[in-house]
Amino acid sequence: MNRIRLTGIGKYSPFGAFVALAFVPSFAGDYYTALLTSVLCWIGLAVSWHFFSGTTKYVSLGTAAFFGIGVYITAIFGMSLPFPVVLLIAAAISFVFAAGVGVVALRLKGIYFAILTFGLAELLSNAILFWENQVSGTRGRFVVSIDVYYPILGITFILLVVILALRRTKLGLGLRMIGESEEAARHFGVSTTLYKVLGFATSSMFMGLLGAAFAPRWGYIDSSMAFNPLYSFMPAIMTLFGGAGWIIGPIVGAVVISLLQEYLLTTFKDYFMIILGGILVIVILALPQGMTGKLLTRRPLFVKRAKRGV
Amino acid sequence: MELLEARGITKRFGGLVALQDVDFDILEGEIVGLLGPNGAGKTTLFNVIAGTFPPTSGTIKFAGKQITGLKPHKICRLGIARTFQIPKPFPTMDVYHNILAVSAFGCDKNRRDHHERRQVGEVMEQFGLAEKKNALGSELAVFELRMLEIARALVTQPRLLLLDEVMAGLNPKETREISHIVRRLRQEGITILMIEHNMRATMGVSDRVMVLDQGMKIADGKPEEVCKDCRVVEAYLGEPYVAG
Repeated sequence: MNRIRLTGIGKYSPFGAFVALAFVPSFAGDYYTALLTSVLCWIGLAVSWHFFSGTTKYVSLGTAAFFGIGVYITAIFGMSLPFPVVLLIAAAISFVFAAGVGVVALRLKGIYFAILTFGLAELLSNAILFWENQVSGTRGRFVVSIDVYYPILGITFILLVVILALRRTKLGLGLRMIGESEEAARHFGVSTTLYKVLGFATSSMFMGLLGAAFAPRWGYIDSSMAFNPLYSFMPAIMTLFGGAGWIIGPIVGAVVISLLQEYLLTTFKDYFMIILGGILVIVILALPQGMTGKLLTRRPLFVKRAKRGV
Repeated sequence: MELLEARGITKRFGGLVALQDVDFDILEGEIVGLLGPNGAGKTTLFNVIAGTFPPTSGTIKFAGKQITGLKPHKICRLGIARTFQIPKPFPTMDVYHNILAVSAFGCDKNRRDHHERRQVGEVMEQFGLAEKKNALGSELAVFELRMLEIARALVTQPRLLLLDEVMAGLNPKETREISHIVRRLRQEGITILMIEHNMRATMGVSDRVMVLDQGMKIADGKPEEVCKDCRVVEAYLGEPYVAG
């Protein structure tokens, strides 16, 4: 495994970065704080996606399903329960729901798994729309008003720490082996079904948590916002763009693409999707392993090869 | 003592009968060669033993315990390790981590405590992989891949090792080296069942050979006896060659 580890003072720089980020709202304006919130949320989604799908190569297009569940949990309970409790409920429900879906869906591979998970998000979106139309007679919901910067910052930080730690456990190793060769993994003692379900549920739990934390930003949500397919596609694209080999890939991809998207959207309002799409195609053609792919070759520039050991 | 007892193993894939009512025993400490023409059902038999898929009917006992229908990871942890006919390394992990990862999963805790554990470094040394420690799984040559397959199987502390054509496509020197390894592993107390097409090497190293043809066991005995068996000659060369 090409694990690369920061050494010396570099080891503490991620912590330093997060401490520094905590002070951003005190000097940056509302616009930059809001932009940073989005970037952090995308980082969280991309890293969560990478933890399961990037590692096992079971490409999920169901991120929106779990993000949307989180959004709706906040919309439903946000006014009546304390926010941390709401977040815990969102995490628990996403985990359990993903585990249930995973038991069935993870029997499928490749494109079939991708399509099924994509359909899941659409199913939830339309089921809620149907319910609102036919049963409750409402459309969308108001969401409790809370400043979301610190919740998103905190969750993204915790998520990075937890996922980095999990990658060094047997769960992380088992998922890696499944991605490398599922057939070999299951014949060499990995309970592939259990590991895939646990990995999928853990990754989905963080997606739900982010959705729940992000929801108050909107003030009002409906099912097409909560389950927007953009949330399914972006984490996958960001990971491919950044490089799926190492956890820095989805982080770099999320930062670059979300900033690029923002810049293009504000500068070329009508053409931004065309330009963004063009850039994505060119970068993926030029750098098939993503922007950080080169970092994973034998001799990285500024980092040392890790010590041996799991 | 019987280490593996298979009774009435039948495996159908739709209309195709890949294995038909195969019975056999493997004694502790034996080296058994499994021969047969292409399509005879040899790899299917391995897959049934290793749990890749369950048999359609029949039972398999390992060390007195029923293992029919268990999942492959359970069977591996109980002490049956296999290599793959087409090596399946972890391609973007280096040799060291290929072996280390398997050693983390392949053996039950209680069984691990009872056996002296094969260390990853020691196994790499033994199989000439120490120099290739940092090479990725995808960068290895054919012989190195075979060695990696065997090395990974061994760190699961197997009692029974299933070798699927580990000599195929190797030169005579490499073939001899594998024969040495097989004998040495037996001395270390590992029972071996090997599929092989290289007749001379198999006959030389095996205590006993079994021959499958069209899913049925047609011979089982000492190598020199099986060689003379009419049905075996017929299966390999066709009826006209059977000496009168």
